[in-house]
Amino acid sequence: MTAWIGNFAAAALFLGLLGMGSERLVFWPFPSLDKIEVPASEAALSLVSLSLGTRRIGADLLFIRMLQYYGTPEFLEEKEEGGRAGEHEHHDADFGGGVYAELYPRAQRILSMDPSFRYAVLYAATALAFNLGRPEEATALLRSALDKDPRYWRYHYHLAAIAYQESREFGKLAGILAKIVDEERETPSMLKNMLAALYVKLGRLEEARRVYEMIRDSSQDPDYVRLAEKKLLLLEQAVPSQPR
Amino acid sequence: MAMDAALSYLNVTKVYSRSHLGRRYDTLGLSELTLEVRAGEILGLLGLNGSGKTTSIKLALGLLTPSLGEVRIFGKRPQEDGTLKDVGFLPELPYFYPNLSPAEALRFYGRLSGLRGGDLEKQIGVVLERVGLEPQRKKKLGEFSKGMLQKLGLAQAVLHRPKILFLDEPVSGLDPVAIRDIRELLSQLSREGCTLFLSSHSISEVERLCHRVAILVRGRLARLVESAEWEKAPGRLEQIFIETVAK
Amino acid sequence: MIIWTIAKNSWVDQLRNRFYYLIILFGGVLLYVSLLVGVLAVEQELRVLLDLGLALIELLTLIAAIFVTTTSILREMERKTIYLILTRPVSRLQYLLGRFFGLLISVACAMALMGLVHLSVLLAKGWKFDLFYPLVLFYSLLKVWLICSLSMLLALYASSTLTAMSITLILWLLGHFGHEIAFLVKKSAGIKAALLQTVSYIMPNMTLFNLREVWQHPDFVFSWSVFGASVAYALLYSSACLFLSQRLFNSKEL
Repeated sequence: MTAWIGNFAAAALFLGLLGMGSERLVFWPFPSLDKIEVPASEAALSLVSLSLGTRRIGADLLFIRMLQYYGTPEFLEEKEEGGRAGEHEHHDADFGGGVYAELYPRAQRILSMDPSFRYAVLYAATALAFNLGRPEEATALLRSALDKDPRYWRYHYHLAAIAYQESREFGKLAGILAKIVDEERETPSMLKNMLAALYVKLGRLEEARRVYEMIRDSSQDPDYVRLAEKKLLLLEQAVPSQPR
Repeated sequence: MAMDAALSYLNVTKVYSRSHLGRRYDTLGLSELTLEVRAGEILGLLGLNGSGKTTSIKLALGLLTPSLGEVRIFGKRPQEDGTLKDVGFLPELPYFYPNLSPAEALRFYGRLSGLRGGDLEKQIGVVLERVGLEPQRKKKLGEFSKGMLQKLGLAQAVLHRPKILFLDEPVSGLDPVAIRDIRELLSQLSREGCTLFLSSHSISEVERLCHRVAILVRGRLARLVESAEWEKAPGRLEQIFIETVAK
Repeated sequence: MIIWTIAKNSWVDQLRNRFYYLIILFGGVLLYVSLLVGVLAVEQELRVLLDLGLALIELLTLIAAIFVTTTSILREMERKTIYLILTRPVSRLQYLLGRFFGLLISVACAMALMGLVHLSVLLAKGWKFDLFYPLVLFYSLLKVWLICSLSMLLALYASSTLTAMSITLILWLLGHFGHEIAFLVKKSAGIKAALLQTVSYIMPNMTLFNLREVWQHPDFVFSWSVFGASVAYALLYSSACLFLSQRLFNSKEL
């Protein structure tokens, strides 16, 4: 019996020392449990993904839910109850308007699960600032993201874009958005679409055409692809493109 | 201990201990067994259920450790290096990996016993032929009947040409033809110099095969009988056995 | 040679086991089903496919590995196939190591197969192959390695398959909560804190092998020394478990 206790104690000591050493090896960029605030309805998902070591999947599923939430038409009652539709300049009235009061908290939850989910942040910030007229929430979201991911330059530019939007300097806004937008998959098609609409508004039709072509050729969102094709057709009718 | 003793039990006692809710329960498996099996001999072990037959075999094979005393095979303890390479064992109702073929199973066991390459393949062919399983060489063991599994059990036990063979109920559940085949094979092995130590409920088989019989009663060696003795007895070995266990 | 013979037998036995193929088939099906989930993520389809696929591969191989580890030795003892091995010149340690490595080989094969299926899905969707991908799978294999050694120990200690599986799964789950336990330690004091800290150190550190969670983080930097230390941790931890398993197994009466 004594031998057994000795064996287990020695093993436990050995494992404990190993464990102490292993702490230093772990690269763990995620916020602690107390920073994750989720409503009861999503607590189970968050806990399961944490305990299975699948935080990214937890963030992915929350992101999918956010897309479904934002993609679902709102009823009038929800618009009246949930929040306010801001008074804002909506550059593309065809897409994305409404209240969607939960968009900001949902985006924050995604960020708390995975601070490196840049696309989700840009997507939500774009919707909040430019479609829903809630720049203060968009700014708060971007600032939270920058706390954890301070070197991501697109966040900084996005904040600047919001500032230009607020000060109605649409020329400068287009300039800064052009820097953010590229063919990289990190930039939501929503943002590209907004830039294209802004170009149209500013009368810069060739640049608008270029961006719509970029969306048509590289976007994975079929809705935005269809929209881009429709807009390109309209542009073609308005200003036929020059042969290259 | 005699110099030509293949197997020796030197005052061996085995107590099984079990703990339950803080209390210890001891069961006597074997008590002060002293017995020698001569090299080349066939010794049978008879006894009622729970008399210690399987315990004796397991102690010799190193599957159990004696509480007192020691067991030696050709002068060495079972746990010593190299002892078990001279030992073959056929357990009661041998069970094999169902997804292997007999050749694959024998190849596995042969390698564990130290056989390699051409010698291993040759031996596999020889033993399969000997036990009559050559036609089923490629069949899956999951499809084998009880008798076929018993024959394969014997094949794996003799594959590496052991000097001593332990058999626990070698004819249990077999039909008369299979019993005859196994008896002939065991006799052949004995003629080739292999020592056999077998435990059985089948008194008639033990009579036909063994040179001596040890009768165990409640963990103790009650009687050691030579073949000459039971051949002379009116009721032969059965009568001797019944008288011994009845005392 | 003996250890390799037993390992190979274990591996071949697994390869012919219907359960093994079911797991791989199930994994393949799930990986294709994940395509449906990916579609819901629209422009982040590749990210979702990557995350879901890697997690599924790890979870499925883990479940299979725990099941096989906890059942194989106990089943061999029940059916007495173990007698035909240990009555040969094979030590109990060789037997344990052979079974353990055989299982690991079959787990690695299952992981590789599922990885190939997953890769085919990703490449078909336009994903650019990243050299870290096989490394991520290797880290998952290390996790499974570690957990298997634990489940073998628990199976021998508990002598019950269900108990061993349950405790192994609990330990695996708790192993992902290292940072959360550290947070609790900070909030506690005295004996409670000391106990929590001790438990967190002794428990397997699963976050060390969660490369699939951090490899795409912008601040993640691969380091060979950390890689070596992680492999060493897995080896040492599983060696400690195997050492205890051997002691337990040696004392078992068969």
